[in-house]
Amino acid sequence: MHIASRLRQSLSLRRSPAQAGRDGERVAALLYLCCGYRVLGRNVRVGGTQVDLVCRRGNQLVLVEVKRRRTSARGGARQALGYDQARRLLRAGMHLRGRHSWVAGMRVDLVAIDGWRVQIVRSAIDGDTHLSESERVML
Amino acid sequence: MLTHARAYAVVGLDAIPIEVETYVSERDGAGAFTIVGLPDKALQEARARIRSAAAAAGLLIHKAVILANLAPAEVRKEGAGFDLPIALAVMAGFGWVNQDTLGEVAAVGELAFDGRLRPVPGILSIAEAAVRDGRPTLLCPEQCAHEASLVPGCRPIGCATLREAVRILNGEDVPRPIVAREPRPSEAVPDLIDVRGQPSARRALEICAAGDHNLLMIGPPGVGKTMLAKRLAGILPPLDDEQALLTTRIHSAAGVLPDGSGLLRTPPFRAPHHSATMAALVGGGAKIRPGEVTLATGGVLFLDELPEFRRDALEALRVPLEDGSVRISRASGSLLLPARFALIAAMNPCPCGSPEPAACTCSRERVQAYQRKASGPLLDRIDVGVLLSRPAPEVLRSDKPESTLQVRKRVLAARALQATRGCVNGRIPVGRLDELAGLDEHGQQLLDQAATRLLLSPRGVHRIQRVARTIADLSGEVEVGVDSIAEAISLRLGALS
Repeated sequence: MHIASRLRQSLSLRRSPAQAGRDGERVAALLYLCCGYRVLGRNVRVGGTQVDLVCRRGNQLVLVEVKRRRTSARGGARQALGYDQARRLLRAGMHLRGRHSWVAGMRVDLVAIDGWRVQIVRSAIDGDTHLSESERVML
Repeated sequence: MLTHARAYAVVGLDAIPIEVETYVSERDGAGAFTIVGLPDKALQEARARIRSAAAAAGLLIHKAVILANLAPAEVRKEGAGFDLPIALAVMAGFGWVNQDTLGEVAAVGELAFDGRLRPVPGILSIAEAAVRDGRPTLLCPEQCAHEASLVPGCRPIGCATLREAVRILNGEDVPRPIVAREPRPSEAVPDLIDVRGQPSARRALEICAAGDHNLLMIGPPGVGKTMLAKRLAGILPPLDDEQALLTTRIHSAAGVLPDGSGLLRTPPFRAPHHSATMAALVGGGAKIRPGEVTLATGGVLFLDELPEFRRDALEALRVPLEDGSVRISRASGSLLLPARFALIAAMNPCPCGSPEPAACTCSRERVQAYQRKASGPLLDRIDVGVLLSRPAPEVLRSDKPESTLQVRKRVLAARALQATRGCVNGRIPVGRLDELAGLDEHGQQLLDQAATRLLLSPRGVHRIQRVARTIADLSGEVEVGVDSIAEAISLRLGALS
C-alpha cells in the first residue's frame, strides 16, 4: 500500500515534462529495487551515452531506458525508443560488461510509462536488429 | 557453452565434412544469432528458420546470444541443408540434446518454421562422405532416408520434425523404419514398333545402343529422327550397380532426382533444347553445377536440330566426347566431372528441309553455313552417320518392324559379350584395340584402303574398328570379319556424301 501510493504520487503529470521524466526514472528505479535488483547508478554516462539506470542482479547486468509519455496516442512510450538510441545503449552495455569482470549476461530493458500505465519490456533491444554482423560477434 | 555437430557441404559431386561449432550464452539477454564461416544468403536465413523451429519444439532461444561457426572457414557454404546440424548444436548448448550422442552422428536437413524437416539435394554425396568420415549414422529428413540408405554402410535415420530428431538423439524415441517412397510411375518409353520404314536408321540405332557409339541422323523433317531417338532408351541395357550409384549421385547433387525414385537403373536420356548455353551443356556457373553431359553419364545425350545449337556449346562437347570427363574451372575452383555418354544427334540436310535435294530452295551458301555448324572435329568424333529419307507410302502401310523387346534382346546379348572383355566397345582404349578388336588380313586391307580413300583421321580408323567390333558382337562372331568392317566403314560419316 505504501509503495503504491508513493508511485502514484510520483507519477503526477502536473509538473513540467522534464520533471515528469525524472519522476518516471525514480519510479523505474523503485520498480527494479522491488524486483530484487541493485541499482548501481542513475543517469550514468558511458562513453557519451546517457543511461537512465544501471542495475545488477546476480551476475546479470541490466541497462534500463525510461520513456514517459502523457498518453498512449501517437505510439506512446514504447515507440519512443529509436534505432540509434537503441544501438548506443546496447554498445554502452557491451562497454560496461568489458569493464566489470562479474558480468556474465547483459540486457537492455525499456520502462515505458504512458500516463499512469507502467510497462517493463525486458530485452527491449536485440542484437539481431540493432547490431551489425561484426558487432554481433562481440556480443 | 561450446557444442559441436557434423554437417556436410556438397561441392560438385562430392561432399566435404563441415564442423559446426556453436557458442551459446545466457538465456536472458540481448539476443543475437550470428553464423560465421562464409555462409551464403540461404544459410544466413537459417537463423530465422532455426529460431522458429526451436520454438515449435518448445525451446525459446530468441533472448540468447548464439554464435555458430562452420569450419573450415574458407569453404563457401551454400543452401539450407545446414539448418538441422546448427539447430541440434544450439539445442545441445541449451542442454536439450546430449552432446556425446550428437558428436557421433552426421546431420543434414532444411527446417520449416513449424519444425518439420524438408528434403535437400545431394543426399547421396553426403551419405557417402559421412560413411567415409566414420559417421555411418545420418540424421536426415524422412523423405531423404531411403535415398541415403542406398549407400553401402550408411544408416540413415529419417526424422519428420526437429523435435523427433532431438527425441531420437536422446534415446526417447526409436528411429522409424525406412520406407521406400512410392516411386512415381516412370514415363513409358514408346515402342520401336511405331517406327516404320527406316531399316538403316534402326540398324544404326541398334549398333549405337549395343556399343555406346555416337550417332548422327540426317534427314528431312518428319521422317522419324526424333521418334527413333526417343525410343532408344527402351533398348539400352539397365545400369550396373556402380554406374547406377554414380548416375543417381549426379542427379541427386544436381537436385533433379525425382521423389522416391531410389537407385536409377534406367540409363538417363537427356534432350536439351537447342537454345542451351555452353554452361548448361558442359556445366559451369559461379557455383559449379553439372551440365547436361554430366547428367547424361551412363546414358544418352540427344541433340535434336544439331546445327541450331550455339557454336561454342557444340565445340565444348569435343573434350568430353573423347575423354569421358570434363574439367570445369571457375574462380571458385576447378572440378572434374564425369561425362561418359553416347551422343545422338539429328539434323536436316539443309535449312529449308525439303525432302529431295532437287526441291531444295536454299542457296548453296546457306546450306554450307548450315552444315558447317557441325564442325569437322565434332563430326570426326561421331562413329555412325545415317541418312534418312521419306519412305514410300506402301512401305509405311505394310512395314512390320521389330519391337523394342526383340531389338533389346540382341543388344543385351552383345553387351554381355563386351562385359566378358571388361570394356564397352565405344570406349576400348587405343592400346587394347588390336587385342580386343583385331582384324584379319582382309579386314585390315579394306580398312587401309578406306582410310586413304575417305581421308580418315587415325581417330576415325580407331572408331571404325570399335564399331566393327560391335557389329561382330551383334551377330555373335568372335573375330571381327570383313563384313563387319565393311558395314562399319559404310556407316562412317565420310562415306555418306
